[in-house]
Amino acid sequence: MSENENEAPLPQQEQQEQQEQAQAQAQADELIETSFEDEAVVTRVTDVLGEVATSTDGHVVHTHNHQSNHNAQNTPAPDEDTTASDASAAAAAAAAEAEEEPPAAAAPAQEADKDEESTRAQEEEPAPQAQPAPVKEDDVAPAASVEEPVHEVIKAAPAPVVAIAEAPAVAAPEPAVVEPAPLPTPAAAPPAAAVVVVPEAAAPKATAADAQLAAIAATVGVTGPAPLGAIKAEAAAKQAQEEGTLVAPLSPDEERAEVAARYAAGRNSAQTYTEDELQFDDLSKTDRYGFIHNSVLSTAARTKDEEKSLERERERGLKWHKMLKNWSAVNPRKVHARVFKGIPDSVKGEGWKRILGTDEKRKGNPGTYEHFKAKAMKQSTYLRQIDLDVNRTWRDHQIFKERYSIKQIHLFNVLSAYTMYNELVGYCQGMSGIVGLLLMYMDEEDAFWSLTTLFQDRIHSMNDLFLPGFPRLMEQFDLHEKLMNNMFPSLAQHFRQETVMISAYASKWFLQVFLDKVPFELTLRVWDAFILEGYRVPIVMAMVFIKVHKARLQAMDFEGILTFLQNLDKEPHDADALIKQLDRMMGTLTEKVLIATQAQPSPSAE
Amino acid sequence: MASYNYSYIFKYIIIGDMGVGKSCLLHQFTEKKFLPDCPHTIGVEFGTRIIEVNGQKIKLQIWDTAGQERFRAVTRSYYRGAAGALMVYDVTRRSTYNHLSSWLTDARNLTNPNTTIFLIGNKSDLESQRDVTYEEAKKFADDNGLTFLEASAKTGANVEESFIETAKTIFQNIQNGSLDLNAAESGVQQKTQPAPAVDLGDKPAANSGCGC
Repeated sequence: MSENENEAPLPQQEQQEQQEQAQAQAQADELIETSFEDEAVVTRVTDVLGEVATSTDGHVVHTHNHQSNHNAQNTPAPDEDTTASDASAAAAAAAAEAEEEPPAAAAPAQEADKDEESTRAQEEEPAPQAQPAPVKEDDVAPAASVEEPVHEVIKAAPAPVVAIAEAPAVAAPEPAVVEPAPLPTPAAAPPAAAVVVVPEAAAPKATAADAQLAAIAATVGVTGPAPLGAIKAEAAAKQAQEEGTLVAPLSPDEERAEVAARYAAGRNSAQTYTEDELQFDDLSKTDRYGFIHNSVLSTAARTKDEEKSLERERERGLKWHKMLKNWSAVNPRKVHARVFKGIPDSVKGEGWKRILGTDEKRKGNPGTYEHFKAKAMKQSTYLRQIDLDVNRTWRDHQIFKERYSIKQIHLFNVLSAYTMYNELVGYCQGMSGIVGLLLMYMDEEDAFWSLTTLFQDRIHSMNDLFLPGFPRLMEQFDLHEKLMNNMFPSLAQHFRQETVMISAYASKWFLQVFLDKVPFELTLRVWDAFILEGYRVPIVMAMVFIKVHKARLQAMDFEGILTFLQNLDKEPHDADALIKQLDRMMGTLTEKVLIATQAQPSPSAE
Repeated sequence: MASYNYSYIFKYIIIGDMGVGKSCLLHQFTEKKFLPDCPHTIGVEFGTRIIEVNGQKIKLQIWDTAGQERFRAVTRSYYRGAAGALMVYDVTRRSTYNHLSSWLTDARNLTNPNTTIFLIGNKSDLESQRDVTYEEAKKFADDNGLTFLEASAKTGANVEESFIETAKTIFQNIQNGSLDLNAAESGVQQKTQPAPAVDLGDKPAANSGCGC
């Protein structure tokens, strides 16, 4: 998409932004006088507001709508600046890499693929292309608007930088590195060194043709019958072992095919069950969310309080059912109040989907998910990385416990499809946990479309969080530091003295929105809030945690602080109280204040 | 903070490709347990253990890092001030070995010249799946002046040794004067003397009374 094409949608976007700004203004004016109980009040709001709001908006949207680059003066979108040169370098590298690959080396040949892909997309996918003005409502409910894949937008940039930089380059030549002595190449190694690669399960002694076959079978196998490729690959591996023949390491194409085949074959890929898997699910060790614990959970009868809270949740569930039926007519304030009380588990998936507009996207883009999924199995350079992480995502949960369980396959599929849908982000560690969480509450395709909203819409904008260079994460660190200085100056000073770096404790908080290292019950509550209110939630939640534990943190040294903040899940907690605090603090720290704080020069230490 | 039950703090960093077992090595070292489904690291994580070298108690503060290329944007700042860098590859996956020179470049560029770099070939228990021979990795290590061991986070083989050998080398460097403790970011802190390092005197009064 070129700059020109963006001219048309601009007014619409502007209008929307103006509206939002006006709203934020009113909200902020109302709340700006509120102060933190005993803390330094965040001040100096208005003078810097206009300028920064623009840049922030620009930044938030720039990746899925290039038009915003007009605004993004302060944030020069590093990815795009570098793409051109990287692309040519990458193309050269790709050419070098392609040497002995009989089947067209799909992964490196990005440029060619792109053209081919765009024609194919036009043929196969009327939906995204048919939309004349591909401007997308960035807000929560994209009233049945047709989804524009990020993928299409990205074509403006010559090539996705990441895809090549992180290709699982098995035999890739190292970039010209001066310092270290060269690695002995596989060829230089004595012949005996080459051994069969057996990544966990069936090791295909795959010829390139076999691998290709496997890839095809894999994509077909998702819906079709026996995954022929996998079977063939397995047989080849067996044969190789019997013959004692040696196999060269897999090429990237072969590796991709091998991974895809394993997931297509599903449970058949695991030759044997592990001891863990063979044990029947011990329900006495499984909590209500599906997590399997090491020891038997309390069998004591429920306390009165527990009974009460369960009863309350049932009642809320009924209310939610009614509300979901009549969603468009519900007062947003009511939704906010109910979400912050916690979406009952029985309707959580429905609730999340409704807020994110998942159904509309899914209905508006029939076949799109399947298309990107199939494409990924043939082309994605991330399959091996995703495979590695699926193998260690939520493994203490019932549905992900078993290797190649149906939900593991879905996790693999969604993440893989997304690498083609959004090539700029591709796959980044941290995403598997998020998709895993979605899959606990919805099916494969819903999880995919929910993910696209979380990544692309303005209020969540997780896209910028996971882009190479982590632009939004860096902003959030910065903002966190400034909030610390403003709200808890003495603790901020203490952290500096103890050389505690923010990234050491807050990377996970921000990237995964408290998905891990806090009690799961609380994770869900934070996620309810996050799904409704977006990226302000993790920023403010971090301040809630700091505030609650301030006195203890102040007395701890470097090691104590890090250990403590890394293990918040071991702390007793009151989810209701914490979320109430979150709600209250979000009222005080309106977007405006956050932005203004961000613009303030860091106050001198004392 | 008057007295310590150790004389030195050494800072380590563990680096290497995705899925080579960095976190498992750390876990095996600090907890003496193997975590088969060890979650992948997002950003950095922190672990610690006290060991004894030449009769001196040394506290190791270890940064475990995310292996995905992209996370170098976050993890780079943890190289500085590391006295030891454990560079890990997976003996069953050649690609992780092929990337070592890139990791080594980072380690050399981002740590101080005296940082001890130790090469670990993990998953040595999976002999049947071996993809990188001991000999060729040893040659790579020798060519680049690294100490090298094959280890297994699963069985625990050579895990202790890797961490402790690294500490021994650092300790030697302190003793023969090649590692200057006063240099900024040496990655070593001496704790035998009463430590005046942390001065709490200038704590602002405004917030000291707050109890939240």
